[in-house]
Amino acid sequence: MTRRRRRPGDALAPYLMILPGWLWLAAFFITPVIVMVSLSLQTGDFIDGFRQTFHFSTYADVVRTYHVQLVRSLTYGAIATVSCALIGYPVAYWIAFRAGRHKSVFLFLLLLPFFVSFVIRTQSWNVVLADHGVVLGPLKDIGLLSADFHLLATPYAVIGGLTYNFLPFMVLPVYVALERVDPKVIEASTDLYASRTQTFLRVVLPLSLPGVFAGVLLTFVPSCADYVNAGILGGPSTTMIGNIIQTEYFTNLDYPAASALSFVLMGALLLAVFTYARTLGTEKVLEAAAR
Amino acid sequence: MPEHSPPFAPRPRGLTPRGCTRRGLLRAALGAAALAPLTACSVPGARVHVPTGKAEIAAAVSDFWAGKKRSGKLDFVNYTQYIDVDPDDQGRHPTLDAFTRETGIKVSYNELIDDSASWFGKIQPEFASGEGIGYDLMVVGGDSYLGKYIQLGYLAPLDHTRLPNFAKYGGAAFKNSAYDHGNVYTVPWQSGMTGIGYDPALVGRKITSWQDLLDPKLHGKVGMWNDAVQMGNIGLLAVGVDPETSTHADWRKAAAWLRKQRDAGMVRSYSTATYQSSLQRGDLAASLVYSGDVFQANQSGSKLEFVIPDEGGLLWTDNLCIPSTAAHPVDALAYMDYAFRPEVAAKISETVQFVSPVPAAQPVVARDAAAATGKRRTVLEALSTSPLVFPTKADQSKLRRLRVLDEEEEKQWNALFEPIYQA
Repeated sequence: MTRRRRRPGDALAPYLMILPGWLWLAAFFITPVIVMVSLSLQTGDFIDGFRQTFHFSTYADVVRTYHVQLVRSLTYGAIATVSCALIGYPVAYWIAFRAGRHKSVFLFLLLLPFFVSFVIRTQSWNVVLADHGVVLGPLKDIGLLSADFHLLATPYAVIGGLTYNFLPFMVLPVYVALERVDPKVIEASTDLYASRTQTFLRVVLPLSLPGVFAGVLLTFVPSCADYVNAGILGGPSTTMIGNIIQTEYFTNLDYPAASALSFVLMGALLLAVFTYARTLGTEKVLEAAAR
Repeated sequence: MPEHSPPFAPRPRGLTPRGCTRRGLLRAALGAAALAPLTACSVPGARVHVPTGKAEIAAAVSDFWAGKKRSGKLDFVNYTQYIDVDPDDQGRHPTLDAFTRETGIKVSYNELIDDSASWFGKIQPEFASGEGIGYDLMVVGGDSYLGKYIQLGYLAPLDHTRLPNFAKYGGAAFKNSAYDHGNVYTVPWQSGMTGIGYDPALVGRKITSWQDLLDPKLHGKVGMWNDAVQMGNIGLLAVGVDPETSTHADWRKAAAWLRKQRDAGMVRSYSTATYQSSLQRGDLAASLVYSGDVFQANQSGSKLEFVIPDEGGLLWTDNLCIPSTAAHPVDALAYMDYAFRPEVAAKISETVQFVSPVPAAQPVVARDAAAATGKRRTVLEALSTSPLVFPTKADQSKLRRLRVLDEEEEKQWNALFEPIYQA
């Protein structure tokens, strides 16, 4: 085997190879973020134009005015994420270990709803959960629920909608992680007299945590920023921060406030995700996820 | 973090002066470089001088139309389901076909507008770049966005000498809309009323006043909207003030009324997206509605009532206008005038079932009803006699118009009314 002589360009090769990635990030992430930061510090109005004045107090103003909605969004997002994990993990487990040769069928079924628009699927919950609809109607008729009980227009409906809409984003990564668990490891655990519970808790669960971690990121971040569920299923006090940003941007044409709010939300989400990563002891998790 | 903590005990913060280190300078330089682009992307304003007074407007009109010729093409953009369709072929629009046969102008008709705000967001950059939006005729709501289009110089002033049908058949109630007195830039397309829609079986009595929406019997069963323009004006009517002449003090009273309604738990949800279906399903007993909603719901089997409350209801108008960048403005103007012929207006009303700005269309609809058969005949008969489509004199006297807001007022208005539905 002859060793190729190193050419001076070789040192550059890895950088050239990631260049497209960087260009992509620069065009579609870094530039918009800079524009957003810039806008958030401007003052003015739409007709006469916005000027850069480094008006940092916009941030204080939007946080003071909308902290309730901000905290609510993070709370709803967190509850929806936990619900997704509680529902999604068993589903993924079942598909990975029990579905046998029909795995791909069940995975396809899981993705099937994506063929219908997000908004229409959410809107159809309004029909399913109507006050006298197919679910609540019979329960009311047999007297299990009082006549004015309702699910729609409550926080439960919004969180339920978020859970429903983001569930596949939890199931898929968990499934991938479980699928990669080597059956021999489970066998070894059984050979060493571990009970089924012990095997699950000490072998399968730790090995699938990277999948759960990825799933949490994929559900938590978009569900906190969602505005469709609150708009369609929500009531008088379920407004989420996404709805506010939409109003500020499209209705009020207040670009600085909308940008500042988006930035605050981004910061809050990053903070939440990092705290979560820290507590989970994550370097390992991230490493495992990258494998 | 690349910084390594020193192996000795950390110095207490604040006790040691910050030296001017190489790293510090580098950071400062990088910081300044990062801030530079922040100053570079200001959003320029685009306010233009809006002509006022007869002479100035006349000059603007002759400036715009000088040398413009008919081209035989027209690109028309509208809200969804907002023009007549052939009952046998939903893809055809008979009045547009007839227009093409008569004038030779080929119409490319598009339904791309969902609401004023998102449409404005979509086309504004194209206007700002001066390239034009590719349409010669568009429908805009009679809200503050219309004011913005005008102030930004995005609309062509209309040559009324070429709009004889508008002058002759346009109903007086629909002319001089809130943001365009004198119809310098717009003519009405369709109008509608905002009032209360309710299900008598659930409410158990007649609703006659906005105060009925505070009735404890309707607790948690009332639908309101996430729309500051409509909500604010409704609040004003509820406290007995004519929105058009309302003062800031009145606005605060209106906001207090709406807040009282919310805090009493009357409102189930604030949503323009779901109130129609919720009302039809019975999840709502009463709601703010547009007149056309109730007519359409009842055509599909609901038994809802529409009422213009005693304190008054709102009359709003969607308008036809010509973008100043239109490639075929003369053709657009020809269509504008065509739309005011009673037989054309009647055909449009027969499908869209809002309030027609052409009162003379009523007898035409009645004539069409007499000539039709079967279900179509019942629908048209109901339409020609419906006060929801052709409001009676008594109803018209109860209708008020939206408050016109300038930029500063709009900010204050939104700050007052948005928090009510965005709690």
